[in-house]
Amino acid sequence: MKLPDSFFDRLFRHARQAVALPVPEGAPQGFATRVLAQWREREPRDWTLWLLPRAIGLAAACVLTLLAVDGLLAPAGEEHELAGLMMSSALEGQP
Amino acid sequence: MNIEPRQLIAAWQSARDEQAARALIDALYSQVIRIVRNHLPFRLDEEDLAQEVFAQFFKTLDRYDPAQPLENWVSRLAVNVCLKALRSRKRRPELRWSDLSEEEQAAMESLVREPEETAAQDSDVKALLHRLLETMDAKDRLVLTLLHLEEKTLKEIQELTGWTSIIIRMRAYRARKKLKKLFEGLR
Repeated sequence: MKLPDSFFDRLFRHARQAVALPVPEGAPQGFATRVLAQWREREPRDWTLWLLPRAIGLAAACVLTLLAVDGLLAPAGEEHELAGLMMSSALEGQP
Repeated sequence: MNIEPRQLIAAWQSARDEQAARALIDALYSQVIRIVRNHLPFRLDEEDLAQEVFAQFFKTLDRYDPAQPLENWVSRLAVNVCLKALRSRKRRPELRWSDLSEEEQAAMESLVREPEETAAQDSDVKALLHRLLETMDAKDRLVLTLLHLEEKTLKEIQELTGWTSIIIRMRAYRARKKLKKLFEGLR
């Protein structure tokens, strides 16, 4: 079916002229209570979602710090052990 | 007692005053419901969508800049919530001629006649148009509604959607072509 050129003009003009449903002055009974209940319900969840990535980041930072400290202490421990061995072998050689 | 919305917002922001929140909802309800009705997705209750708009309103209210007009901010928020709902919900399945009511068929017949002999009933044309818009992509539907039904200017649509004027014009052009195809496919 071929539409006439004026089709859209007529279509939207008629649709705009149609009587709109009356708009209420204020919110219906109980509406505000439902909105606030929904807001309260979402608030802790949003807070948790906001907190979760930060908690994961903090945990990762702690693990990395522990690994780094462990890595720094390990060579020092080995040196200490070596020094102990040298000392004991030196003492064994004495009369 | 008639308190300014700005004072109500301040009361909510500082002490989460629920009375202030209720007064704000009452003051903004008619503006929100008007927008929601124009962009209501297929098979969704207008009050449910309005509730979602207000839930978003209170969620983001702490970021509201009082230098900006509240009406503009609320309109933008409402349009974006509607667009999100339109995108996430199923569209109406494709319409056929037999799906239309007698009144809608008569309205269609009248619209295609040149010159228009008997004036189509405005309410029937509106119903027919809305049923076809419900089968369209969310952004196509939004741009046609804002531009041709609400008669918003390009600048106003830019403010509401954040789209550039070139995108709006391009989207509107394509959407009109798609809508024309839908009408042509009816018979």
